[in-house]
Formats: sequence, C-alpha cells, structure tokens
Amino acid sequence: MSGDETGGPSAEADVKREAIRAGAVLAGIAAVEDIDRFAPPGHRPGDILRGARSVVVTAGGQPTRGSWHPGSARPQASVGYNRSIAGNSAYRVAHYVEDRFGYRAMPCPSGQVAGHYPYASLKLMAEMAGLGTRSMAGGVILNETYGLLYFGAALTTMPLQADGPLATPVCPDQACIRQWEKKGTTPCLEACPTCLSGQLEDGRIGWMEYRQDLCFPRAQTTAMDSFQKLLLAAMAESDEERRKMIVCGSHFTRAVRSLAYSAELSAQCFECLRRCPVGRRRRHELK
Amino acid sequence: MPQPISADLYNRYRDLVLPLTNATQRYEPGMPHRGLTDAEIAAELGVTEAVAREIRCVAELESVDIACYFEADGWKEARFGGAEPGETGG
Ligand code: SF4
Ligand code: SF4
Repeated sequence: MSGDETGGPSAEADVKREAIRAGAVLAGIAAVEDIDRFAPPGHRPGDILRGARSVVVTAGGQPTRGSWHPGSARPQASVGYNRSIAGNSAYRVAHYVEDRFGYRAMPCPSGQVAGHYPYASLKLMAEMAGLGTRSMAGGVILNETYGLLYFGAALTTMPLQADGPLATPVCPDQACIRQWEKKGTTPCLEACPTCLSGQLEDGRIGWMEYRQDLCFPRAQTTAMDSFQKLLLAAMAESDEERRKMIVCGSHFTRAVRSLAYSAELSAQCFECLRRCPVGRRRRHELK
Repeated sequence: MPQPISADLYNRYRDLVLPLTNATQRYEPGMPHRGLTDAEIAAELGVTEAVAREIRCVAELESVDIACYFEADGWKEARFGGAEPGETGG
C-alpha cells in the first residue's frame, strides 16, 4: 500500500496525516506479526479485530513542557496526562481507514480487560511502530524528541507498510550512561528504588525490573484501586464516627472525584522521569 | 457474568498467582518479557481461566496495604523537592 501511481501521498502517509489532524503529535504503523511475536494469545490485535493486519499507533496527550515545572508534584499528576487525545485520534483514524480505503478498522480499547491487565499492550504497539523504545523507568516508551508520550491505536485489516521498531534505543541517554559509569545509578533508578531496579551494560539497558504493584499506590494514588480499598475499609468499620472519617475524608473524596472526573487520575507519578534527560531540550526551550 | 469465587478457593491460590502476573515486570532486550495471561495461570494451577482471573484481580488489590495509598502524596512531594526536569546531576 505504500506505492501510489498518481504520485500522491502513500496510504501510510495519508493515514498518519489524519492522525495528526485529529490531535496526535506523532503516528506510526506496526505490523500485527511483529506485535504477535511478543504479545500472548488473548491479547493480540487479531483477538480484538478479527483479521487485523496493521496497527496505526497515535501518540499525544503528554504533559505540556510547562507541566514539568510545577510548584509541587500534585498539579502535574492532575493535568499531566490527557488520556483522550491519543484515543480520539485513533478513533478518527479508524473511521478514516474505513471511509477512505474500505478496510475494517476499530480503535484498540485502551482500558483494562480485567484488574490490572490491559486488552493489549499499547506500549508494545508503540514500540513496534517505531515511536520510541522501552526505558529503565518501568519500561515506559520514551521518544527521542518528546520523552514521555501516551498512545492510542487503530487496528485495521488493511495491509500497511510498517515502520517497525527503532534500531537505536532512546534510553539510556548519554548523560545517564555517564552517571551510571560514575555512580552505578541513573536518574530514574535513583528516583524510585522501591519500584525500579536494573543495570546498564555497555551503554545499553542490560536488564530492568519494575514493580507495578508497588508503583500503583503512587502512580494511581486516588484512582480505582484506592476507591475500592477505602470502600472496603469503610464497610468493615463498625464505628459510625470512624466510618464517617473515612468516607468524608480528603482521600476518599479525591477517589470519588476520580471516578466522576478523571482530573485526579494519573498515568504515573512522574518522579522517575522528572530528571530523565530524554526530551530535555524541548522542555527547556520555552521561557 | 463473572462469578465471585469463594474465600477458600482464593486463599488457596492467592500467593501462587501474584508471582506469575505482571505485578513484577522484567525487561531484558530481545527476551520475552511478560507475566502470564489468565489462561496461562489457569493452566499452571489447574483451575479455570475465570477462576484465575478472579484470584488475580482480588490479589492485585489486596497485596498493597492501604497505608501505601495514604503515604503516596507525601513521598511524591518529598521526592519532587524542587527538582529541575532533565538535570541528571550526572
Ligand atoms: S511512576 Fe512513580 S512510583 Fe511508579 S516507577 Fe515512576 S516514580 Fe516510581
Ligand atoms: S533517566 Fe530516562 S534516559 Fe536515563 S536511564 Fe532513566 S529512563 Fe532512561
């Protein structure tokens, strides 16, 4: 689908441009067979859209550069991540592929299928679409220009030329390699030793381990899990006054607000990436 | 519609399930890096996929003490400490 006899833009360029028009900052294309090499049965594109052959991955909704300069940690966690932009652009792309090219398409559900498990890994899709590479900071995908990004995806039966994974890893940055050589740590490992551990080898990630279970209360402090746990605590509390303190207290109030309005939901707590040098230039070029 | 499972069933398998999941994620470039799916956990333990899913979902919530949620804001503000983004100090 990449050739175009009329000399017009290729289907791939056309689809990506539509993603950008819909608000994404970047878009890339992954081949389903590349994703299937890593994704387990039940969590593959073809499990979500039968016959899926390509995935158009959209990126956006990242913190503004100013959001990295808050007066305290909480405001960034409240506004740092807009989960609708990448998803909306993927939705638009899915319709566009159907209307313009006549292939089936559907947005990949971005939520969890059950508990903490997603329908499919958007990180893996982004990686296979060449939008960035895994990082020491919990495996989030870092993009050379933007640093941290969030992703949406449109699955389609349309065969598209895939961008494929990047040949050169974005993480670790040169500054992190120097820090590793001097001090045996990196900014992200230093920031969050509870959740993160790992090793650089020859200037590359040797291994990285991420404790998602320990990250959850910090990254999702007032999100769904917090609500469920406080609800259970309140139900188990026999003393009416103490029950009131749980349900009317500030933490439960924020958790309830998270359910009603996502401003209290965060993608992560940002501390592991606050000193990450990837994307630093963009963040510092504004006054 | 998923059925809640019995506390007995949950207690029997809880500690076996979490280490199999994505609760701890390891990444080594070029290596497979993922926890087991509910279907794979079920096969490992000899239970149905639906039972494995229920055990995992409850265990994910139960494994973290509620105190960690209360302490999280304090940790983040302390960690934040006015750091300049992207300045590694390295
Ligand atoms: S998001 Fe927060 S808790 Fe999670 S790994 Fe990063 S610094 Fe640690
Ligand atoms: S600080 Fe950023 S670039 Fe450096 S090792 Fe951590 S995630 Fe990678």
